[in-house]
Amino acid sequence: MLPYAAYKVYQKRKENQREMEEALGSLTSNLSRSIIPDQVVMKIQRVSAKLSEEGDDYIPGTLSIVEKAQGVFIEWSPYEEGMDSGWVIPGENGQEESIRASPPSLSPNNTHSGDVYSKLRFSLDVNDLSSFKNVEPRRKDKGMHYIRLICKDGTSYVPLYFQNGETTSFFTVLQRYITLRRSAKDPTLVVVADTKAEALAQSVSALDQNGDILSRLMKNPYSTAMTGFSKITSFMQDQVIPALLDSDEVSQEEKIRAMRELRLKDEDHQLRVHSDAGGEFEVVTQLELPPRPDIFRESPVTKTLWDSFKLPDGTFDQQKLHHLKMNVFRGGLSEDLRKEAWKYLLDYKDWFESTATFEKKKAILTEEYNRMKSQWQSITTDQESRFFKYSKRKGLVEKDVARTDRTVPYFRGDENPNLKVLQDMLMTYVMYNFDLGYVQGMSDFAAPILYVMNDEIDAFWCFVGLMQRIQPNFEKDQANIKLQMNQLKDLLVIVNPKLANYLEAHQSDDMYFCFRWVLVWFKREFSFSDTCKLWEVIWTGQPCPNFLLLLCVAILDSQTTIIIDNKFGLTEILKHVNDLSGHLNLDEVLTSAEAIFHQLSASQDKLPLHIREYLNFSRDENAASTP
Amino acid sequence: MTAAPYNYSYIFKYIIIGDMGVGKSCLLHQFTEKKFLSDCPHTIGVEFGTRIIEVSGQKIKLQIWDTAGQERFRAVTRSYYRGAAGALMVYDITRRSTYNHLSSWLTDARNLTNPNTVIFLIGNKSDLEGQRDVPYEEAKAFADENGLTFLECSAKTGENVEDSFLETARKIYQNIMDGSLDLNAADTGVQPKQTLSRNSGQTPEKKDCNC
Repeated sequence: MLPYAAYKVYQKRKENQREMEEALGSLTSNLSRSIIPDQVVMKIQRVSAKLSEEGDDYIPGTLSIVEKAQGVFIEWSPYEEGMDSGWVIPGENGQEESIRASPPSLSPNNTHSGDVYSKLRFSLDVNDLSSFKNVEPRRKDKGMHYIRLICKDGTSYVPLYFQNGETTSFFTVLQRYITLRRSAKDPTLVVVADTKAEALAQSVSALDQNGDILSRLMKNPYSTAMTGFSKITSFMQDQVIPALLDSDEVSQEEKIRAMRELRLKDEDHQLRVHSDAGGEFEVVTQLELPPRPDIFRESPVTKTLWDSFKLPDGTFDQQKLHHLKMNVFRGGLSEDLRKEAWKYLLDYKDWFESTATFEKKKAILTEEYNRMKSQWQSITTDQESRFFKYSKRKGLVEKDVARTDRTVPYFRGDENPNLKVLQDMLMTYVMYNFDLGYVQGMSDFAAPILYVMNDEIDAFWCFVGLMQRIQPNFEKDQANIKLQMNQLKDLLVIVNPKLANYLEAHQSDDMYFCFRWVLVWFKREFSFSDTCKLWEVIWTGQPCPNFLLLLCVAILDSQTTIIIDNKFGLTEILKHVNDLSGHLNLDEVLTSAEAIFHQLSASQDKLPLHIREYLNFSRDENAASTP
Repeated sequence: MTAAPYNYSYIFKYIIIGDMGVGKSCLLHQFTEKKFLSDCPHTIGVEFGTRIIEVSGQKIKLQIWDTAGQERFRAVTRSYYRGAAGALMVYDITRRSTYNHLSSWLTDARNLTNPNTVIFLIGNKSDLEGQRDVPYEEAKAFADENGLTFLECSAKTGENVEDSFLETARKIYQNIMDGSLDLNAADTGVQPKQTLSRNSGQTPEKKDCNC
């Protein structure tokens, strides 16, 4: 606990400053507003924002609830900047107490700490609050209680950790202004109750007593499927309930008519879906997957373990290769092994190629690289002026290299030589594959490879190996991206039909909000080092093709309650998914994706054909056993 | 004062479009954070920014969709136009090719938004006068021909950035006031927000109706 007197002084200064800002602000706005002074209803110290899932960068600050003329606001601000060396305050008994108030240490993923710092400050109208995650530590002595506020527009604020554990008083005060309710489906989600919806729920139940409308409504032939049920509820919440509530004069008769129309609409919709999907719809929606198994991540594969799979000539034992790949899949690679292992995972080095053979191949590839590099390097400015297709590609590469992973120390600083290497690599790739050229997203893949290889030529050929697999994502028609979006939706229908249906009812079933995930393989969602861990797991090709899509399914699945209980629409879903960046736990995502794979695998004989194909489940047992 | 602690009466959706590397994200950052980040990562898909501004005494929350510029991703970015009240169409005054593509961006903006969407043309990088490739007069003529408001800006120095975003909002607000933008129509990109009174628990006063 901090000495009260010291805080008093600090707060006073802060308040004065704020008052001045307010006063200035209100001068320019409606004058009458400034008559009512702001009232700080509560203030909680030592509420820290956590910058990202990875690491322990907590930024201490103050959380308060303020009544203003314009409404009631939840505000959080970091402690004053510029206290880099920690904040030492004389304690009551003379001893000194210190709080870390400095910006977080510069891990590879944080720069512009000042920017980040001030950007985190927020002031949120309680009426814009839709819900919040309220996560208590599993054990009292370990971890801190945190909340994450989620707005009606889909914005998620940074998680706020209560160092003093004073959450109860915060909730109590908040309840004066809004009604809070714990989500029935997710105990860590607290939803701001919509007074309108509440009232309607009551009026519907009153209605139900008289006419038994509700039970008839639910009795349509397809509503046994979970999907149908969710559609009815979401439609009712979004359209019917507000419509009924908005007019007080609505007679009982009209209410009943509205409910009937709703039922008809829903049946129509169900029939449409049904006929679209052919005979498979029933099977699909009624399929119940076995419970999700508990999966644990293992420790990274070490150099010693890796080498134990090698034969004396440097090749890998074919019998054990699958086992090795599964090890990498379950634990990733230790950092010192990456440089070697990625060459195999990216098809630069062949698993069954001896060290001597590879050296010979490498000599040829080196020459090949230098030849292609000199091709573009020999183009003069004069030539360039009449070679638009080339100069256009060059311009694109230059633009993106200057802004790829610049916060990572390896690429930081304007005169950083690694930027030129990255530029050369990508330009040479343009010569290697001129028709495809440079497409945004490629630099996102090239940078981590260069970082790990730390060698231009090795990095280039690893990049070529990777591009071999993902080139379709960069093609002009974008057909492969659309295909993956469709596959993702199909998988979600099986794994989480409720969410799949919700997305469909909210014009989001094109899954475009997952575009970034699929194009750059979560590069923008995880930190640089987590991205490396994730990619090597995917590159093993285990346990099935399209594991990337199962990762997407796992993340979406974890957001189901948030999306549905907040009644997010198209924009909010997109915004929410964007805001997940930096706040996903890689191990959790990997384990749940793997668990989902096991669920699907266990019921593969019941899965529709196309799903089995996505995941490469053998179509029938006999076919698999025939040579 | 990053987040102005004020309630607002409307939400306007903006979309920023234009070729890759013209400075769309930088304009957004300059507007929302008053900072220039030269190495801000290229946008994949879409990113969001918000800021509350004031027009004629009304607080308006701008929800700005910043899109990826490369031609190849237009199939995806086109899905973001719907329901935009304002479209900021950006080119780079030092690269003529980005100016030459404006007609195709304009076609998209016109086809994929509603007739009342305010389209604002921005010639970015006005700080690089020495490298100018597109004369002001030429772009001005293009803007006049197509009925667009036009300003040259610099995301780096901040010159005219504020004005572009605010002027667009003023035009949208004007359209609401004179009735040409019907708030009840679908996909206008304007969302009236009911201002809530300080006394909680009561029915929110509907400030925006019949005024």
